[in-house]
Amino acid sequence: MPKLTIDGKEIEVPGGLTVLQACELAGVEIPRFCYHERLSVAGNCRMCLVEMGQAPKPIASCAMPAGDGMVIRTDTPVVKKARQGVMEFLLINHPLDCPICDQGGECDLQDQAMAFGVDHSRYQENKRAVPEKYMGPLIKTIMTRCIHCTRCIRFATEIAGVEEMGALNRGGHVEITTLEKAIDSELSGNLIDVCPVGALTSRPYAFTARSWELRKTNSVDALDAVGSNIRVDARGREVMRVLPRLHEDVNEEWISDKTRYACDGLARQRLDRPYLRKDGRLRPVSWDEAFRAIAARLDGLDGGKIAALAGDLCDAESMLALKDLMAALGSPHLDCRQDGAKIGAKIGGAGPRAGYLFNTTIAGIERADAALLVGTNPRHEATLVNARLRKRFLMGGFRVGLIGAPCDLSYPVDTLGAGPETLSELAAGTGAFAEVLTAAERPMIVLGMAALARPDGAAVLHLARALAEKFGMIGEDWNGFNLLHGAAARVGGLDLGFLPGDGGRDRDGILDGVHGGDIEVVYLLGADEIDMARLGPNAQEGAFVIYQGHHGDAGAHRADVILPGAAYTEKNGTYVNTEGRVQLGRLAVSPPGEARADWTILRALSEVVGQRLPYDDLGALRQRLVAVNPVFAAVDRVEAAPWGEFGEQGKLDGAPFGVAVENYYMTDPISRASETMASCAEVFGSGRAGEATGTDG
Amino acid sequence: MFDKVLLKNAEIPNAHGIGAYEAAGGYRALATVLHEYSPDELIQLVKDSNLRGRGGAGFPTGVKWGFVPKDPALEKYLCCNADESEPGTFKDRVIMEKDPHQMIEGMVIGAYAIGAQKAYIYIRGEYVLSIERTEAALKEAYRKGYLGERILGTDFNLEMFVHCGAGAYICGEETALLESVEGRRAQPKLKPPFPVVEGLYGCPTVINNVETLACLPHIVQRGAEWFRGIGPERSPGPKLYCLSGHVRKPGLYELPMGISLRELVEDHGGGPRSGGRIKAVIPGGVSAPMIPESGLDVAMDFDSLAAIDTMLGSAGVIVLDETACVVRVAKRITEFFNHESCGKCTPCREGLDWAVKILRRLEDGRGKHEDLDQLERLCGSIFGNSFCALGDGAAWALSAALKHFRDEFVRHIEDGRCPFH
Amino acid sequence: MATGLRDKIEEVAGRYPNRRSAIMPALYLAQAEHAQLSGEVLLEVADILDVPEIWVYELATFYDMFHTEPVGTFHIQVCTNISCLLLEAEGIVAHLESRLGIERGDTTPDGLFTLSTAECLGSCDTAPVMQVNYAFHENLSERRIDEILENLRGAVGE
Repeated sequence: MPKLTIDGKEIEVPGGLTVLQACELAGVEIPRFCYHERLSVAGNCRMCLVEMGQAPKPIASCAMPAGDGMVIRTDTPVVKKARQGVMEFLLINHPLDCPICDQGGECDLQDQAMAFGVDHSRYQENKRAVPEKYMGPLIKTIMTRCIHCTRCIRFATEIAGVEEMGALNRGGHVEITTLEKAIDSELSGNLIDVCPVGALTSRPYAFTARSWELRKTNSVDALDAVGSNIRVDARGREVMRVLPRLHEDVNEEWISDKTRYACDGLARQRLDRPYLRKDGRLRPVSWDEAFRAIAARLDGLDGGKIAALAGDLCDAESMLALKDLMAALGSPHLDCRQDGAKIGAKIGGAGPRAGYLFNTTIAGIERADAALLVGTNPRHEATLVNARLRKRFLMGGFRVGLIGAPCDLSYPVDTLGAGPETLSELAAGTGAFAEVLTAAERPMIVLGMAALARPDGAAVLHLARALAEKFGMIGEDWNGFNLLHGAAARVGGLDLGFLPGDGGRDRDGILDGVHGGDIEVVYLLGADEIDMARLGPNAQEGAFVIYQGHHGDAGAHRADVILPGAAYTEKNGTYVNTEGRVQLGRLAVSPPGEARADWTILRALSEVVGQRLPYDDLGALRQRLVAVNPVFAAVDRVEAAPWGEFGEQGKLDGAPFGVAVENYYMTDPISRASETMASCAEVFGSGRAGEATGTDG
Repeated sequence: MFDKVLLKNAEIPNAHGIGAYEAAGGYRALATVLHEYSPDELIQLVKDSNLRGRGGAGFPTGVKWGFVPKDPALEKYLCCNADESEPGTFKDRVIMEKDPHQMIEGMVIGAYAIGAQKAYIYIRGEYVLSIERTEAALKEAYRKGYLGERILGTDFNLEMFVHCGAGAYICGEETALLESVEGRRAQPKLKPPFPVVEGLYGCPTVINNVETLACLPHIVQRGAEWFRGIGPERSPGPKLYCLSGHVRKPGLYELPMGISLRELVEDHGGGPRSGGRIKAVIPGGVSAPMIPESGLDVAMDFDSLAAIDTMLGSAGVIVLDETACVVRVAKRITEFFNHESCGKCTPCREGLDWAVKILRRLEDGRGKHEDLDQLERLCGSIFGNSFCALGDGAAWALSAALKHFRDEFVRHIEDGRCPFH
Repeated sequence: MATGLRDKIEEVAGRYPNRRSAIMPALYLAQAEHAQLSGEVLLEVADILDVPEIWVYELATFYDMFHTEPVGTFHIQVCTNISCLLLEAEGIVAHLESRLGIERGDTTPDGLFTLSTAECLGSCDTAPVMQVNYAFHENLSERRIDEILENLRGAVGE
């Protein structure tokens, strides 16, 4: 623990820190532009200069390791002069267009110019002008504002792992560029956040709002199962933008492009009033009329003919309300696994939680020393989990094997094979990667839904469990067994048991039941990813379909009754991420039109159908949630889940593992409604969907 | 009379061929080293000689070698800095064109000392003849078994390649040079880690200047004491001085370290051009602050020049007579540094561009008195704050011109034109 | 053509432990073959070395001796740094400008000559100096310039 003297104050700091970090610990603010704690140190902006002992020149504090006995001064005339000089240099070629700059109000240069600059410019010469660059549909460039800190280049090459951004020319002529190509990374939006000035800004958000007129709400993302912490910025009833919020154990300070940019989909194709199908056409009706139509259809119907499916964006509260309603109606047919994944339970009982969680935890990836990916492309299914895998790779000594469709994950991967056969061989200890796993102290396996949402999914799960035990992935303080979910609702649904009850049907059972006439009413709670054709063409020749959700997507098109619900930004709801981390999403704006928070819809409906649910407010519903499963009480705490038996021994299919996410930009009703995501899908084409999905199809 | 050491062969016709080099005793030092010295003994010999780097910084060569980790499992590299781009300097070019084996032999000796098995010679791209002669010399050396595997029958192996620069002064900065070899934009890197610990491809790497390396065979052959006996004890040895500008006999002169600048310019260089009088001398390439005529009695060695706020640098001595316009010279020097700024750090990138704009106005007679204060402030904001020595050198050189010849700047302002042109 | 370039680049790449290091020598080889490092040529270099295109662009634009813009058959570069400046290099440039009918930085309409100023070429004792393509011409005077231009024009005529 080196001991330093900073501005006359002695302080002991942990080893391995820089002088800049030590100063921060000492409560001394050091201005900086190029330094970013998550990027390599560049030392180029020279804003963080301080005086060190007898050194003849000021030193860059961001680059100097804090050493024992160092005497650092940050408050001397030399330091003040150096900072003023650098500040002046940075401003001479920076346009003074703050009033029309989207970074205005949240600009490091603006802030530090106020704190460390002088009040007038002595620069009498012409300013430099730099041509704009095209970087794709997400990033707007105003390169004249660039201060050459290179944070963007370092982010792209280090964190995102794409070699597409660089600097042309030299000296004052340097220009940052992606060679006029859209930057091919699902993390590209973070470039905007790392840019300390207004050179890289959000293209979709351009000129739409000023930061100080926005209402800011801390929440969590629901567009994948990472549970990235976000801040939703709204004006009036409109979500203007989504920004990352720091959570070291989840998303650090990054978010994926879908999390950030799908928000324009929240304002499009919304279900803002109830609808009822009359004479084959959906017509707007009142809530009362919609509820009465449902009550009429359920009247006298045997509970065994009713079924419910929960979609990927559902909050836990609404799933529990629907589960309770189904129970009251006498139906055991419910499933939150709309992709048909064979996880979470044997029919009739909940399996151990360790069997469906990402037990290693996202931050725990950094402790792993080998990883086996099975039927997953984490880059598309959980971008921030992939970012953590890359981070681990950069730390060195981390081999990654993949069984499944080949893909570019931004770090080297040994592609071992395509399907269950390879997994069996590996489980039997054959192949070079078996040696890697054997040699590893903390190996991990990651099973994607493409490995489990298939007829032999339960057998794959069983085999993977055996493999994990064989290679010592399960230990006292280490659990290397992981499921990687793609749906924000999934773990919550499993935790609260939105699963077939006694004698209940799972997704396929329900859909087959519709075909066979055993199921007559299907309640889709935001379930849009099932094959709607299996519900029959209409209520007469198939099921009577109730769709509760927020977008006019697949489910709404098939529905007989539509109950307009709230999107994740419009309600207070609980989500459990792939690690099993319970987090609270918060209402940032009200739902549009007559749409309502989902649990309140179910609560209201329950009264109309004569099965009044016993909770009158969210607090009471959350108490019920905790009663159903105590994990819901542990908000943001991940506790190790006990190991147990899960999966089912069975015959493995020869078919290779498929791809869970066909198109990263269009995975759910919100992203499908987003114009920004549509333009991304167009620019990146099918490349993003199935790049390297194999050799010849 | 001083007997030439480094340029001894240069006058022999076809000295660049291995035949001439061997005939003059070439590669005998290498044989001695490989058969009679352990690497540590060799490092000690060079330490004892007080050889200091001829690239400009004057760091003791043996000490630098001694910093290389001894771990034999670590791959190590030797790089020869032949990116000679300091304006006014052409000494390394002469060695490579006329006597490339001297450099190569020095490199094999250096590589043996630090345990490198791979070496790169970074030659600036404009030096086409140097590149051609060095490449040819490497082929000869391989053929004769001075390079390659089992050199002179020992266990020592060494591969050596030329890497051509492509027009960037910054590559003379050692970390930028390594970046350039690695195929990156040649921008200086943070130190620590120093290249001797973590250099080329992350391996311990020593970077030595051509002239430094050329001294090695002679130190081996004639001993540390002999070397130390030439010139001042603390920075001894033969030295190549490049003489150019307003001088009667420009050229490359080999003389002892520590000779007086006046003797160099007036006796060896023949003094100023006919009828001229010396106004100032730049003693070590344009990074070295100019010295007015009154300071010419300084000794040409690292310490003496540092004591009067300038430096030996590359020993590129440029003479300005009274017809030279210091404003124009200062402007041109600053333009040079601005053109060569890699763009990495703020003070150098932005400050030099600003200074150039002011200096151009001043030279044209469009300057104002405030401009001079502004230039001084600019130099103050660049010097000491830039990432590498390029910015420092630029600011240092400009400040000296302002300090010693402020009256010339003032005349440009008051006359509204250049009094010289 | 392309195969020849590929072979040459492969040969030089063998001198380095990684392909990135070979970008500079590859650019020299490509420039020798194509005269100008156009976007297509840079892409070809990236392809041959199997490195990201941006790496190649970064180097092609960093160094003065790589030409991403077209240059004439004869690229005349006059040193205007201090030693040459002191010996009237500006006059040499002015003389060339008038003889060639172009300004510094330009290329003659026939594509024969590009006139540039250069930083120190390391031939200060023979100032003023210039390079035509890679050949040095020293101790320049207006008369020497006229001879050199005549010889160059003659070389093309043959």
